[in-house]
Amino acid sequence: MVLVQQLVLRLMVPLDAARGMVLQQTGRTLAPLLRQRSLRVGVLGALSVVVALALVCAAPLLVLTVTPLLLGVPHLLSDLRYLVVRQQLHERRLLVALVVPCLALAVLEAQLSWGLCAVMVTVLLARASVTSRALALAVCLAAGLLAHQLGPKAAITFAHVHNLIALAVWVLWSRERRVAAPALVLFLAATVMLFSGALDSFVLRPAALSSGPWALDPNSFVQTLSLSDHPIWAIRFVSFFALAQSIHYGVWLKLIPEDDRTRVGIRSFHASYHALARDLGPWLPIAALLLTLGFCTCACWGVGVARDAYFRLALFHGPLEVAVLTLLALERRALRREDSVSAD
Amino acid sequence: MSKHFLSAVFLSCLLSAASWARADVPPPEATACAGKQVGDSCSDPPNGTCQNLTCGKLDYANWNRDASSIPPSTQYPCVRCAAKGSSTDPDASSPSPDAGKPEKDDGGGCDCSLGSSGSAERRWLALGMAALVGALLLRRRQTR
Repeated sequence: MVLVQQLVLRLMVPLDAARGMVLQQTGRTLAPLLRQRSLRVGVLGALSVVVALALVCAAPLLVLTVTPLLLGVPHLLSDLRYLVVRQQLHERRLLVALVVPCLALAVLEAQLSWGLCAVMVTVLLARASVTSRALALAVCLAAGLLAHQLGPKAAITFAHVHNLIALAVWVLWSRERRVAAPALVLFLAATVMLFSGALDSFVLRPAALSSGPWALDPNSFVQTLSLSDHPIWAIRFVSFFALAQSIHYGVWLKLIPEDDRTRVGIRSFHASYHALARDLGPWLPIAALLLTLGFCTCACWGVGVARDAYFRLALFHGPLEVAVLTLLALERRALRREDSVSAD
Repeated sequence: MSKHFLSAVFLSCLLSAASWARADVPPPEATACAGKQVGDSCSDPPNGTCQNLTCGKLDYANWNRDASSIPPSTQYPCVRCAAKGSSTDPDASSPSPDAGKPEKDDGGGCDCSLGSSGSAERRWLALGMAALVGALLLRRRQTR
């Protein structure tokens, strides 16, 4: 264990050295960004939307195929870190004992209903008034009925909605809500452009829709991500998912960690790893690293297989996000950040 | 409840997921022949058999949008559940939007080793193992 940790820390040395060199060259120019968290988070948020849109226009299938393999597991880890551990929900034994099996079944059975079950259990165990919980349960039941009506489209709808949940969490997490505004406006504009057809000449190019060794067949994405059967609208939905998913990863891996930590300035890779290990223990980050390497290795033999395996594993985190947000809303608790936890 | 418990649950889920490494959330008609051989019986449609068929999908890569408002359809061999005696997948003959109902495609051919049916025991076993590992770790921590 110690050996593995030392190895990970050694990996950080060249990364931090490279980081130091970049900061030496650009430090003076970027000084305001490095010093002011709100400015940095606002710029990073806006930049993540612009970069995601550029990538989606350039190679949507590549984005959809490869980014989950590279960023998927780290973002699941971030989910656990900020939504469960930071909120100290892992210390509520009954909640964990009843919700974890539901989420495990959501993974094992690939059924959205188990995710809904996890949310309903969370509602029942929330420290809130009976009226609030009854109302929340009624909403859950209505969502269940709606999902039943929608049939296979329910899972697709939830996949899209879950990408947007990350944006909502980020806004709630922000120390200054206004810093999220530019990113939200850009995201809205990008969405309108995608669905209005303004970007059709990019996303509907034959080159953009050609499958290859690192880009799966567009039909498989249409079938699992589109709410429309019309070919043009189907590709717009797929492109929108690619955009929202990329931003979703950016939110969990960069924006929320930036807003969460006590330190206002930037942090080295070495310090980031120590903070991660302090929050989650030493095993989870290493397991996540190995799993990411495993998915990437597996992708060399079959990228579709590796991607499918990752998404199967990730089925728990959408319901987890909904469950935690529902719990916090019912208990009228603000999201806890690093400083609010250490102050307790 | 500790981080060790969280780790145990997470790791157990990973291990469980690994046994479904070829799984996804494919369309029901594709899962009907999951893990089965050609000639095996399947349930979608009822009393069907897994057959070598010709499936259809939209060929987005060769879509000339100036010439057509929808992509051309293309056909490819696949294994699907169909009523006995079928030789072509019904979806393959649909000329437009509905023609894009492909077999789950990972870049060529069908994924016929999905383990979604007939392995409920393994799933419950995996879940039980996850709970056991979690309980053991929790107990270990409490006894320290």
